[in-house]
Amino acid sequence: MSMNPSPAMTGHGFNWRTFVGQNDAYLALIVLIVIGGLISPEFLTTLNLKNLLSQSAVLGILAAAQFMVILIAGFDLSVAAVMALSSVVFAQFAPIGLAPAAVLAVLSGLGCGAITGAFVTLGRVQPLIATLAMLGIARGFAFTVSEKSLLVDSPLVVAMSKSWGIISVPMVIWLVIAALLSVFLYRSRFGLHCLAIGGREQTAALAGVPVQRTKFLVYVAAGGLSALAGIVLVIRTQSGVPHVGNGWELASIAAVVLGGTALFGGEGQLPKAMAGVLIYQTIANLMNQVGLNPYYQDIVRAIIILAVVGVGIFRVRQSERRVNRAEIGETE
Amino acid sequence: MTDATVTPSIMNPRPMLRKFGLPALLLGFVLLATLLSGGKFIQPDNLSVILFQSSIVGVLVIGITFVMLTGGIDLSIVGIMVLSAILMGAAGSERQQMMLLNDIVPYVGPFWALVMALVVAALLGFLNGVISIRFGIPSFIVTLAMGLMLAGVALMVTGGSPIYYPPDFYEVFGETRIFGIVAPVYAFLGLAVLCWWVLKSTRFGVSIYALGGNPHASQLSGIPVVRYQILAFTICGLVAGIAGGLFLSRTGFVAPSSGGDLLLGTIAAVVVGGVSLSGGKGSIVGAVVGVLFLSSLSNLMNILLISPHIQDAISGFFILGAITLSNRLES
Repeated sequence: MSMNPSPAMTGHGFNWRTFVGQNDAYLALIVLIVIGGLISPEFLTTLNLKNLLSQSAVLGILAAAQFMVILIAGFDLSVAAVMALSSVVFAQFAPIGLAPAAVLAVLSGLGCGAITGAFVTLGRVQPLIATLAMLGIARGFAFTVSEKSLLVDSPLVVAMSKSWGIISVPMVIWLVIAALLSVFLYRSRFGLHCLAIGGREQTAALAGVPVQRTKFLVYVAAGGLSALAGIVLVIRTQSGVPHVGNGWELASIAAVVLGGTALFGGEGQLPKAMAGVLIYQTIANLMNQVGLNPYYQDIVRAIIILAVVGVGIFRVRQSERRVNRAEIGETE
Repeated sequence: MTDATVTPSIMNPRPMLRKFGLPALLLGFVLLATLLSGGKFIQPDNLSVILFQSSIVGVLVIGITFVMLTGGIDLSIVGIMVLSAILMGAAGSERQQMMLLNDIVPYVGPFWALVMALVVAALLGFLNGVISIRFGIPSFIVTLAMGLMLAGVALMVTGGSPIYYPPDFYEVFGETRIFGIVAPVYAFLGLAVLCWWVLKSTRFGVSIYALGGNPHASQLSGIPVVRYQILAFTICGLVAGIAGGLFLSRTGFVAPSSGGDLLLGTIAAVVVGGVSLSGGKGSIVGAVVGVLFLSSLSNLMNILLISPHIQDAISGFFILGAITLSNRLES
């Protein structure tokens, strides 16, 4: 969503450094896929790619929610819990009818988002703690709706679990959501307001951006998106699971940062963040392909998250240094 | 978030509310709880159960208070607690050794197992501090990742099976009663007094408030900011290790998945106890009162047969409400 025309295209000649800098997430993904194909013969099979993409769909929608919140310089630790709540609500009411069940599931997510948003804006609770509290609330409600996983055997849901080559329903839903949201954030005044708030809240307020309202709406939207992820999860696995997604809040942050979004807001592109999701899931998939013990996988994942965020911070510092230098008037 | 009122005046109700709000709330709650439970709540037996239940969260709260005073947070505190309890059990008991599915942890005897577990806990806290402070990565991300990693390590160490046979020492400790109250409660209260004294009377303790309030000014006034911040994380880790010992003496059992519900309760207690998330404000006394309050609340809900899942949701709302209220009182 950077608003500048791409410098790689303007001016005379083609600048490799700028091109790589702008497309780093996509290039990293391509390199990773090539490596995957080389080290594991199973990696590039249709079945594995289909699984990889449909797994990415759930995390991808969560990451889209996380992306919006990080863009306004917040964090949302409740995305995975809200997803779990929505999945059990959907599964619980599916026997009545899929449409009302989906509406209730999305409403539960929007409700959670509205509560978080209200406490962040009106109560001035730090986003981190407000969403941590919402994590507890949503999980508590999820387990209250159902202590155990709920099977959904509605014929329509079963039909939707089919796939065509590498294309699956979750993947299509994910791509449609990501595409619509990208266009919306890129084109709308709302998207511009989000960037401004993430850049510097006081400045945005002085410039007339409705800061509190925008922030509230972002948390509501994040709740709604997390709920959609819950529905997609049910389509993928045919069950609503109250304990699903432990640790996915961190995975969503890591994926968004992998996709080049600034950790403290104000800068980022949703399509790149989605590429970050694919990178994260490809690494996870490859760890399975090479048969790494699942206990070690958690450890590797934690190290990846720390490394990714660490590099993200390093980048922020560097760009700050560049800005400082520019302000002083020093030339590079 | 600076404290504007240095001298509380009687005319202004806000400082009074801030100072006496929580004790007054606690008193009102005790009266209400006694009424609702038909007198069950106030029975001495029940009160001693509340104290016993408070001891584990209480110790965790003491640890996390150090980190939060510096403006950080430790979300790996329960992970450290569980891992150190596992080490105490796995390396300290011969019977447990035979049950383990792998031999990553050797048998070293109960005492050295305890020492090893506490050293590991302190080292993990130190690692949290170094990564977060030295590399400037927000502490919540470092400690969340640490928690994720420790869950993996706990599974690796035990091969996935729980620790059923910790050394007898822990059971004996958990059942020893002095004046009708079990020993872990004294451990918790003793630690609280010690840490209260550290924060009140040592150079480190006083500096921690200063650097939490304004790290830059503290740096300029000669406080070794980085060293003290890392020390706070280390203390938090060590204290989480101690909580691991109390956990074993209360349950006699620990699994890699144990303690999942403790993190939210710990944060809720600290926040209800008036420790500020942005650092520099709060006290051990407040945090301990927060723990006692929330333990009493959860005890009452247990008496009233409210499901533990609803209790989790209620803790969440308590965190939100408490911070909103304290923000309102400040401004």
